[in-house]
Amino acid sequence: MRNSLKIERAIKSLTQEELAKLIGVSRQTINSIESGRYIPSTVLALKISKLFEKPVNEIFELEKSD
Amino acid sequence: MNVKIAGVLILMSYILIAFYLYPPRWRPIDVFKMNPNLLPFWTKLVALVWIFFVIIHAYYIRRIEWTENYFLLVGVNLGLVIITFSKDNFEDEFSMQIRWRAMYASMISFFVFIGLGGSIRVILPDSDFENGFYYLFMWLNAVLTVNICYYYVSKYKIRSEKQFKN
Repeated sequence: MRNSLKIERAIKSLTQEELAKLIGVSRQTINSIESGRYIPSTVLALKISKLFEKPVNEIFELEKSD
Repeated sequence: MNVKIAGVLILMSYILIAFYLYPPRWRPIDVFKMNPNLLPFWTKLVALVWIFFVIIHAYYIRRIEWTENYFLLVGVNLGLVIITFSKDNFEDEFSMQIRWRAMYASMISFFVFIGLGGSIRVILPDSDFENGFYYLFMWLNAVLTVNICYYYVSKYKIRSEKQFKN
Protein backbone atom coordinates (compact mmCIF):
# COMPACT_ATOMS: atom_id res chain seq x y z
CA MET A 1 0.00 0.00 0.00
CA ARG A 2 1.25 3.45 -0.95
CA ASN A 3 0.45 6.56 1.00
CA SER A 4 0.93 10.29 0.64
CA LEU A 5 1.11 11.00 4.35
CA LYS A 6 4.49 12.67 4.10
CA ILE A 7 3.24 15.02 1.38
CA GLU A 8 0.03 15.81 3.25
CA ARG A 9 2.05 16.51 6.35
CA ALA A 10 4.37 18.82 4.42
CA ILE A 11 1.38 20.72 3.01
CA LYS A 12 0.11 21.34 6.53
CA SER A 13 3.66 22.07 7.77
CA LEU A 14 3.46 19.43 10.46
CA THR A 15 6.33 17.43 11.88
CA GLN A 16 5.89 13.74 12.61
CA GLU A 17 5.79 14.54 16.30
CA GLU A 18 3.03 17.12 15.85
CA LEU A 19 0.95 14.85 13.66
CA ALA A 20 1.41 12.00 16.12
CA LYS A 21 0.14 14.18 18.97
CA LEU A 22 -2.88 15.31 16.96
CA ILE A 23 -4.06 11.77 16.28
CA GLY A 24 -2.89 10.21 19.55
CA VAL A 25 -0.14 7.87 18.40
CA SER A 26 3.65 7.79 18.75
CA ARG A 27 6.10 9.37 16.32
CA GLN A 28 7.38 5.90 15.49
CA THR A 29 3.91 4.99 14.27
CA ILE A 30 3.83 7.93 11.86
CA ASN A 31 7.38 7.19 10.72
CA SER A 32 6.47 3.55 10.08
CA ILE A 33 3.33 4.44 8.13
CA GLU A 34 5.27 6.89 5.96
CA SER A 35 8.01 4.38 5.26
CA GLY A 36 5.38 1.78 4.31
CA ARG A 37 6.44 -0.60 7.06
CA TYR A 38 3.14 -0.36 8.86
CA ILE A 39 -0.39 -0.31 7.46
CA PRO A 40 -2.64 1.57 9.89
CA SER A 41 -5.99 0.29 11.11
CA THR A 42 -9.18 1.66 9.56
CA VAL A 43 -9.74 3.78 12.67
CA LEU A 44 -6.33 5.38 12.41
CA ALA A 45 -6.65 5.85 8.64
CA LEU A 46 -9.99 7.60 9.20
CA LYS A 47 -8.48 9.85 11.86
CA ILE A 48 -5.72 10.80 9.42
CA SER A 49 -8.18 11.47 6.61
CA LYS A 50 -10.33 13.61 8.92
CA LEU A 51 -7.32 15.64 9.98
CA PHE A 52 -6.20 16.29 6.41
CA GLU A 53 -9.81 16.74 5.24
CA LYS A 54 -9.35 14.28 2.43
CA PRO A 55 -10.94 10.90 1.64
CA VAL A 56 -8.97 7.90 2.89
CA ASN A 57 -8.31 6.61 -0.62
CA GLU A 58 -6.64 9.89 -1.57
CA ILE A 59 -4.07 9.37 1.17
CA PHE A 60 -3.81 5.58 1.08
CA GLU A 61 -3.70 3.78 -2.24
CA LEU A 62 -3.57 0.12 -3.14
CA GLU A 63 -0.64 -1.14 -5.18
CA LYS A 64 -0.73 -3.91 -7.80
CA SER A 65 0.86 -6.32 -5.36
CA ASP A 66 -1.93 -5.77 -2.77
CA MET B 1 12.71 -14.25 52.85
CA ASN B 2 11.42 -17.73 53.40
CA VAL B 3 11.39 -19.44 50.01
CA LYS B 4 8.02 -21.09 50.72
CA ILE B 5 6.38 -17.73 51.48
CA ALA B 6 7.96 -16.36 48.31
CA GLY B 7 6.52 -19.36 46.45
CA VAL B 8 3.01 -18.61 47.72
CA LEU B 9 3.42 -14.94 46.73
CA ILE B 10 4.57 -15.96 43.28
CA LEU B 11 1.60 -18.32 42.90
CA MET B 12 -0.82 -15.57 43.95
CA SER B 13 0.84 -13.16 41.53
CA TYR B 14 0.37 -15.63 38.66
CA ILE B 15 -3.33 -16.06 39.53
CA LEU B 16 -3.88 -12.29 39.78
CA ILE B 17 -2.05 -11.67 36.51
CA ALA B 18 -4.05 -14.42 34.79
CA PHE B 19 -7.34 -12.88 35.97
CA TYR B 20 -6.19 -9.42 34.93
CA LEU B 21 -5.02 -10.51 31.47
CA TYR B 22 -7.85 -12.97 30.93
CA PRO B 23 -10.93 -11.59 32.72
CA PRO B 24 -14.05 -13.76 33.13
CA ARG B 25 -16.00 -11.87 30.43
CA TRP B 26 -13.70 -13.50 27.87
CA ARG B 27 -14.62 -17.04 28.88
CA PRO B 28 -16.94 -17.66 25.90
CA ILE B 29 -13.97 -18.06 23.61
CA ASP B 30 -14.08 -15.45 20.87
CA VAL B 31 -10.84 -13.73 20.01
CA PHE B 32 -12.73 -10.84 18.42
CA LYS B 33 -14.27 -10.00 21.77
CA MET B 34 -10.88 -9.98 23.44
CA ASN B 35 -9.50 -6.52 24.01
CA PRO B 36 -5.98 -7.02 25.31
CA ASN B 37 -5.91 -6.09 28.94
CA LEU B 38 -2.25 -5.33 29.51
CA LEU B 39 -0.74 -4.57 32.89
CA PRO B 40 0.16 -0.93 33.65
CA PHE B 41 3.58 0.40 32.63
CA TRP B 42 4.89 0.69 36.21
CA THR B 43 4.64 -3.10 36.63
CA LYS B 44 7.47 -3.39 34.11
CA LEU B 45 9.77 -1.51 36.46
CA VAL B 46 8.62 -3.62 39.42
CA ALA B 47 9.33 -6.76 37.36
CA LEU B 48 12.85 -5.57 36.55
CA VAL B 49 13.60 -4.96 40.23
CA TRP B 50 12.06 -8.36 41.05
CA ILE B 51 14.23 -10.20 38.49
CA PHE B 52 17.29 -8.43 39.84
CA PHE B 53 16.33 -9.44 43.39
CA VAL B 54 15.71 -13.08 42.43
CA ILE B 55 19.08 -13.38 40.69
CA ILE B 56 20.94 -11.69 43.54
CA HIS B 57 19.08 -13.87 46.04
CA ALA B 58 19.92 -17.05 44.18
CA TYR B 59 23.53 -16.21 43.56
CA TYR B 60 24.75 -14.30 46.60
CA ILE B 61 22.37 -14.94 49.48
CA ARG B 62 21.35 -18.57 49.24
CA ARG B 63 24.27 -19.70 47.11
CA ILE B 64 22.18 -22.55 45.76
CA GLU B 65 23.00 -24.51 42.66
CA TRP B 66 22.06 -22.87 39.40
CA THR B 67 20.51 -26.14 38.33
CA GLU B 68 17.31 -27.34 40.00
CA ASN B 69 16.74 -23.89 41.45
CA TYR B 70 13.01 -23.49 40.94
CA PHE B 71 12.80 -20.23 42.87
CA LEU B 72 15.20 -18.64 40.42
CA LEU B 73 13.40 -20.10 37.40
CA VAL B 74 9.87 -19.26 38.53
CA GLY B 75 10.94 -15.87 39.82
CA VAL B 76 12.59 -14.92 36.55
CA ASN B 77 9.62 -16.34 34.64
CA LEU B 78 7.18 -14.19 36.63
CA GLY B 79 9.25 -11.09 35.91
CA LEU B 80 9.51 -11.89 32.21
CA VAL B 81 5.75 -12.57 31.96
CA ILE B 82 5.02 -9.18 33.57
CA ILE B 83 7.43 -7.38 31.22
CA THR B 84 5.89 -9.16 28.21
CA PHE B 85 2.29 -8.41 29.16
CA SER B 86 2.62 -4.84 30.39
CA LYS B 87 2.00 -1.63 28.53
CA ASP B 88 4.73 0.56 27.12
CA ASN B 89 5.11 4.13 28.32
CA PHE B 90 3.28 5.13 25.12
CA GLU B 91 0.90 2.46 24.00
CA ASP B 92 -0.82 2.60 20.63
CA GLU B 93 -1.89 0.19 17.88
CA PHE B 94 1.60 0.09 16.40
CA SER B 95 3.26 -0.99 19.65
CA MET B 96 0.54 -3.65 19.96
CA GLN B 97 1.33 -4.82 16.43
CA ILE B 98 5.06 -5.07 17.27
CA ARG B 99 4.17 -6.98 20.44
CA TRP B 100 2.08 -9.59 18.59
CA ARG B 101 4.70 -10.01 15.89
CA ALA B 102 7.45 -10.42 18.48
CA MET B 103 5.31 -13.05 20.21
CA TYR B 104 4.76 -14.88 16.93
CA ALA B 105 8.50 -14.92 16.24
CA SER B 106 9.32 -16.10 19.74
CA MET B 107 6.67 -18.85 19.60
CA ILE B 108 8.46 -20.25 16.56
CA SER B 109 11.67 -20.37 18.59
CA PHE B 110 9.72 -22.24 21.29
CA PHE B 111 8.57 -24.90 18.81
CA VAL B 112 12.13 -25.22 17.55
CA PHE B 113 13.43 -25.67 21.12
CA ILE B 114 10.77 -28.27 21.91
CA GLY B 115 11.26 -30.10 18.61
CA LEU B 116 15.01 -30.11 19.07
CA GLY B 117 14.81 -31.42 22.63
CA GLY B 118 12.22 -34.06 21.78
CA SER B 119 14.01 -35.34 18.72
CA ILE B 120 17.39 -35.56 20.50
CA ARG B 121 15.66 -37.69 23.12
CA VAL B 122 14.23 -39.95 20.37
CA ILE B 123 17.53 -40.23 18.47
CA LEU B 124 19.66 -40.70 21.59
CA PRO B 125 17.41 -42.20 24.28
CA ASP B 126 20.32 -42.70 26.65
CA SER B 127 21.65 -39.19 26.29
CA ASP B 128 22.02 -36.87 29.26
CA PHE B 129 19.69 -34.47 27.55
CA GLU B 130 16.93 -33.82 30.05
CA ASN B 131 13.34 -33.14 28.99
CA GLY B 132 11.94 -32.56 32.44
CA PHE B 133 9.79 -29.72 33.75
CA TYR B 134 12.88 -27.82 34.81
CA TYR B 135 14.21 -27.64 31.26
CA LEU B 136 10.80 -26.74 29.90
CA PHE B 137 10.85 -23.80 32.29
CA MET B 138 14.29 -22.82 31.10
CA TRP B 139 13.08 -22.85 27.51
CA LEU B 140 10.02 -20.83 28.42
CA ASN B 141 12.25 -18.21 29.99
CA ALA B 142 14.46 -18.27 26.91
CA VAL B 143 11.40 -17.78 24.67
CA LEU B 144 10.13 -14.88 26.78
CA THR B 145 13.59 -13.33 26.63
CA VAL B 146 13.63 -13.76 22.83
CA ASN B 147 10.19 -12.15 22.70
CA ILE B 148 11.26 -9.15 24.79
CA CYS B 149 14.43 -8.76 22.69
CA TYR B 150 12.44 -8.84 19.43
CA TYR B 151 10.06 -6.22 20.80
CA TYR B 152 12.64 -3.77 22.09
CA VAL B 153 15.14 -4.23 19.25
CA SER B 154 12.35 -3.53 16.73
CA LYS B 155 11.22 -0.48 18.69
CA TYR B 156 14.78 0.77 19.05
CA LYS B 157 15.44 0.35 15.32
CA ILE B 158 12.32 2.29 14.40
CA ARG B 159 13.08 4.98 16.95
CA SER B 160 16.62 5.45 15.70
CA GLU B 161 15.50 5.91 12.11
CA LYS B 162 15.82 9.37 10.64
CA GLN B 163 12.85 11.59 11.39
CA PHE B 164 11.19 12.84 8.20
CA LYS B 165 10.51 16.51 8.60
CA ASN B 166 8.89 18.80 6.07
